[in-house]
Amino acid sequence: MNDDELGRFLRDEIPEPDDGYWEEIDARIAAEAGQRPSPVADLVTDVGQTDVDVIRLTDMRPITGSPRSTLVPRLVAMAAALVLVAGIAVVVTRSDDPDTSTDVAESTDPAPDTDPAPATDEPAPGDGSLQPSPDEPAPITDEELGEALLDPIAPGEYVVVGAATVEAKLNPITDEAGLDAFFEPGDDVLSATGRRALYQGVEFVEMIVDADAKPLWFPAGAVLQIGETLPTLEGSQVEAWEFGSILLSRAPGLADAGEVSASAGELLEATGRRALVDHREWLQISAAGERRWVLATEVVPVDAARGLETLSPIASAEWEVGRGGELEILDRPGFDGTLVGGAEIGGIVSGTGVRALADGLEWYEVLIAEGQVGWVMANTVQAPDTILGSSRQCYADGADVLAITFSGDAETFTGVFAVGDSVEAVAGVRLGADFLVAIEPIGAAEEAGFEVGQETWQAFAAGFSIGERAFLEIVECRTVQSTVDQLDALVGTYPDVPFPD
Amino acid sequence: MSSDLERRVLAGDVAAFGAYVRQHDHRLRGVAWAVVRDSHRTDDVMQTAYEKAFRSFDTYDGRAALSTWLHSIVYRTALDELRYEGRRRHDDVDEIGSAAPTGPDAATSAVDRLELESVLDGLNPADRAALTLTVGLGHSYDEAAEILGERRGTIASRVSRARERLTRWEQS
Repeated sequence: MNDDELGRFLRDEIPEPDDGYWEEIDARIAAEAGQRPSPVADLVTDVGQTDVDVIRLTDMRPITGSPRSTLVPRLVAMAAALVLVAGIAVVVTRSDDPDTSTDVAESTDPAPDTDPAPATDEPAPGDGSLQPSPDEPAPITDEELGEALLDPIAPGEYVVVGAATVEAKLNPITDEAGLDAFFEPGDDVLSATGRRALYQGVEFVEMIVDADAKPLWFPAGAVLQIGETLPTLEGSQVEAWEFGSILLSRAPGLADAGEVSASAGELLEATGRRALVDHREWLQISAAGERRWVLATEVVPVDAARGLETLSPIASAEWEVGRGGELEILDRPGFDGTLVGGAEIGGIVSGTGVRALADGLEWYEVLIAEGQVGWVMANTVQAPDTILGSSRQCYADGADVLAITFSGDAETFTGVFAVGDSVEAVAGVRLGADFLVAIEPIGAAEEAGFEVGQETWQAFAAGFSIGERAFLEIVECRTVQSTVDQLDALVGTYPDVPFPD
Repeated sequence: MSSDLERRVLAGDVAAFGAYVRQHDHRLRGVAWAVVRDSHRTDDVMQTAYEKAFRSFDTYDGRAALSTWLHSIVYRTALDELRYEGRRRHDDVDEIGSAAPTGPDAATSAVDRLELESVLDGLNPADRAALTLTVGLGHSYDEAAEILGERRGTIASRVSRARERLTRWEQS
């Protein structure tokens, strides 16, 4: 295949956009330009906290330009903009109290008299210097950090160092991350606020990246303070990572290296000395009998005994299979690995704490059987939900009904979602004192164009609220083939709840 | 020297921005597609990238062409998408799209196209992006280097590596 043929193939492959693509872009740009208020801000209103056992959502009004959620971070903003497909009937039953028909409430009715809690019960920022925007969570406070909060460090300027891209978080003790939350070594100068936190064995430090944006939390091991002497590393081997060849400079920060270089894949001996020049980390290595310096981003440490390009270890953890589809476990990191195992979405795999870099991505080593290990791409797994909850996703691909069981304290609820299209994501998110569930059928909402009115949202939110500090953990997702009898059996005592044909 | 449309774009003119991105969308989508290899996620990447770009015009320093700057944003957004969401391939024959061949050899051609797609899927995303930018979309190595934030030699290595994989597939 010559270049012309290959070029034509590559161009022909480029897919055309889906329907609604440009409308979505125009809406986002218009919102960004301030020509109209954010739809999320419009919907964040008072929330009642009334226990309701059955909700029938019938009051739908068509709109256009329904936001399309994509990444988990956007689900936090979407928590106030619950989007439901036409024909979804949501039935929430208490598993331990089937006869609660007297507690039935419909979404078309106003919420019972309660003192409405503020929809955005956002605590004051930890340092008081940043104001939250209406569509993003506020910076986490010291009280919310609780036991995770460590003694403060002195404020100062830092840079990201190391070999790999670093992910920063809006909140160190959940999986929340902000847009643009990935940082390359040396790209930005960060300003430490002084706050530190420890979560699952990893220390995080709070940094201001942009004075106009919220602070972000970075793994402490991924940042270094400018002007400080770099601690030495243990002498070790590093492997030239950059494709082609890398230059071995006579001094850190010096671009002119003469004729001394290393080829990709070549192993070099690191002396352990490090230097920070122009916000970039340099490592000293031995090459051809000389001491030379190389950019830390162009090499990766090598676990010589196992022949792996390892990253700094993390605390071994249990990882939940996330949105990557069925999890593939390979015999080694990298796309060339051989399949040796798998796990389904929602399944749990145990990490060994070892990480590696391969094919430009981060990989975790996991246990697959007694004494056996395999490798998974880091971005196909996530930390399991915690009490403070992030999210868990359920899928109803190809099925007509999704049954999701939630637990809160000692009680469980089963939500039955009869959908006219695939429900791709269900996430539990926290908004103020309530823990809400956002159901987000990807694609269908845009086609149907439904909005969630204040009444609907209140009723929906009220149905999942338990006490003042409520949280919900998704414990089970099941798909059910759609027959009325099966749905009735699942629902139990609410056979009169209408389901779509 | 920027055109009048580009000047209006940089001034925050919403209509001008809409017109500009519509002009360049297909080529920009090529970069996103090369990284994420999924049509739905390509749309997601592009929508997010355009929003980021519109929000970030105050950081555009004019050293690179506006289109190059946009390409870089699309590329980084696509990498973020890939890293965050994981690899999820749609084995959908429809995604071969309008270029699907017809005629007596269509069945064999379709298999070859699927296999070639699979080989491309197996490339390092950065290699694939470099290949698409240069061989597919006609960018020079210097332009591709600027878009991907890498050295020219690195781009050349990536394209060479990708071509080597394709050659091995053809010979197998």
